[in-house]
Amino acid sequence: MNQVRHATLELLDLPVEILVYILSHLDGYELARARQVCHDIRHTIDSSSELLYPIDLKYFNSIPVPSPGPDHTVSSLHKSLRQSESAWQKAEYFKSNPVSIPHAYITHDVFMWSCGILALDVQNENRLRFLQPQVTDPDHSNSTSLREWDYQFDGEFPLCDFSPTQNLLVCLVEASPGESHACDIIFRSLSEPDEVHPEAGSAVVKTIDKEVDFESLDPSTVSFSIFGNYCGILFSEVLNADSDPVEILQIWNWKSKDVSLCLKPAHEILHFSFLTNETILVVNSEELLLYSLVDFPNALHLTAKFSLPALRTPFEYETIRIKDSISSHSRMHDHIININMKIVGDRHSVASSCVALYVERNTLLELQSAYTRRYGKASDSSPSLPWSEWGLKHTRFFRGDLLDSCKNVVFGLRAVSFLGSQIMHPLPRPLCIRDFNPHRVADFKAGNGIRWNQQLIEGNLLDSSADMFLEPLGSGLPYIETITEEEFLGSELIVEGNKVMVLSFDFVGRLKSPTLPDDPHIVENEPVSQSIEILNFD
Amino acid sequence: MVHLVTSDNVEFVVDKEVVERSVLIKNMLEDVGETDQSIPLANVSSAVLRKVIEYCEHHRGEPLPSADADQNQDETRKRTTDISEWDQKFITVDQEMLFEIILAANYLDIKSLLDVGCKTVANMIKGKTPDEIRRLFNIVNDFTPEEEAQIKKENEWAEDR
Repeated sequence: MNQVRHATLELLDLPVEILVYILSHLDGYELARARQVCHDIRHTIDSSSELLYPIDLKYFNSIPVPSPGPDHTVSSLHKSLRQSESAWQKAEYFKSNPVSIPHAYITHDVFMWSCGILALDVQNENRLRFLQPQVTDPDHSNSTSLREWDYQFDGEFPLCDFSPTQNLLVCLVEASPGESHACDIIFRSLSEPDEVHPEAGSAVVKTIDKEVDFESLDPSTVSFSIFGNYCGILFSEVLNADSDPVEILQIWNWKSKDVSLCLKPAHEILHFSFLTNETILVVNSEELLLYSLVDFPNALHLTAKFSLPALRTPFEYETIRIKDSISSHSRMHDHIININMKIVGDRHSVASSCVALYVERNTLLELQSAYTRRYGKASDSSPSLPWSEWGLKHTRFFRGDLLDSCKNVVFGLRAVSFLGSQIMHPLPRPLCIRDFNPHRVADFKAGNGIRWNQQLIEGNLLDSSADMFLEPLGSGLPYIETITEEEFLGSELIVEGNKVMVLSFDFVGRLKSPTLPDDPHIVENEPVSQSIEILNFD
Repeated sequence: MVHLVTSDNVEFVVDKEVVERSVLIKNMLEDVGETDQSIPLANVSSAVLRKVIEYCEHHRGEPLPSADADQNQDETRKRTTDISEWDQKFITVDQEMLFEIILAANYLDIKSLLDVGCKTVANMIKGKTPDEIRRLFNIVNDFTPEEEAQIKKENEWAEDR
């Protein structure tokens, strides 16, 4: 250094391990800034995985799981984070051999796929079968195995949901005759469904008054959401004693005995989801509503209302689904919420269209305070924040498809879709990976790094269905898109961490069929095989 | 009582319980056993040792952090820079003394004091621009304009927060 040595002791005179220790108290953003001070500090940071890891965690908006400890050194975690992020960017994955689903469980009808676990109804056997594909050898040996287990139930196929993070299986069953309530909710252990969940406050809780007819429950009108200690069930359009459709959103603290709360909002509820351990997102046909759980179980407080874009007559929002295939740990972190909306015209017009509205969870949480600043404490009668004041800047629309489950599958700040539509024939389709991480977008714009085969997408793209809307759609959330060269025959798609799982039916049998190759009804009588393929971006 | 002699040849007589907050001295005393001989601390001046002893006196009797506890420290806890009120007041010294205390705490192996010192420096860095950090710590910007432009570009994502 040319600098004249001061006689006094200065920051850079400290031994490097102490400098590292000082810097280790800074977060990723502060470290990134400290790198710009001088060569010495930059070199100190760049030579320490302990300091680079927090920078990268911030940069990639990743979830630090697992925490560093004896089994995972910071440098090994840092290395695997960089590896997997680079794999996603380059769309470089290794594919494990597809694992076939035993023939007996093949079904078109009843199955659920969440967080890497597939639950199938074994017909005529009163069994729910769980299948969890696992990469047997983590050293990329391409082999996949299936962990299989059963839940034997009495009576009808239960409506249910599960959460691997909580090891919780929630089932909704009809109450015994003579009871004063209509349904029982049972909390089971997901890994051992014959057992009551060890942390459940009660094995069974009662719900819905007797006047509601359980038989009238259409499975498609019941939605579940599980988050931490909360379990919520929305019954839309259940028929009461007078055969009028009513709506009930009930939320339990499943770890406490008989602690629950019922929401009766001013508007019908189309769907709901827990955003954090104290916030619920509820959608109706006009707006998004946030409720706070801080006073649970005494009250749910409305905290903010955000308008959806207004529609031209005669269009209206018919079905809305908040799609989150995110495991609970990542909900602690920012992520994209995909609100899938089916828009219908009047009954004379055939026009119906499906759009997916993307918004960052943190945006909604931050907008809560903007709402309060403007309108004060929210109540049922308070106005909602106009679409033009939040949606334009903070959301983005994609074409959706309620029938094709391979669209807009979100995990964290990334979304995957198979490109192209799948009408009757399953067609091989490439996988499109969209990265909404604002840091990566800013970095990409600054022109850093190798660009691989990526593309930055900004501005509004969705125009064809825009004529249904009275207001301009959101053009926020720029993203970086990567499309695989390989094409996949998949009918279901989920993402769990750095794994993309593709469920596919093999239609060889149908194609061999000599008659009416275009008739989709033939499929049902043909034997099909079903398999799961895992793309590892580790 | 334990006798300590500093680099500038000043002798301090300190309670065993107080001085044993230094793991270095604690281990030394365990090895040597009861002794009237003074322990030379060639790396610590009397001005600094006075401060160190003041700190140890105040925290006398508090449990020493174990090595295990350190292992279990998670990221979030580590990145908090909260300092108790007394410690804050204690560590309000000029930069040179602050760095001296950090060096002494490191040498004498007094984990909690090292933490207080390092957190204080980290708090001084927090929320400042690179230029403000340079001015505060008397650091010369030794990047060429090209390097500076490059590194600014690399960190563009972290700005605007």
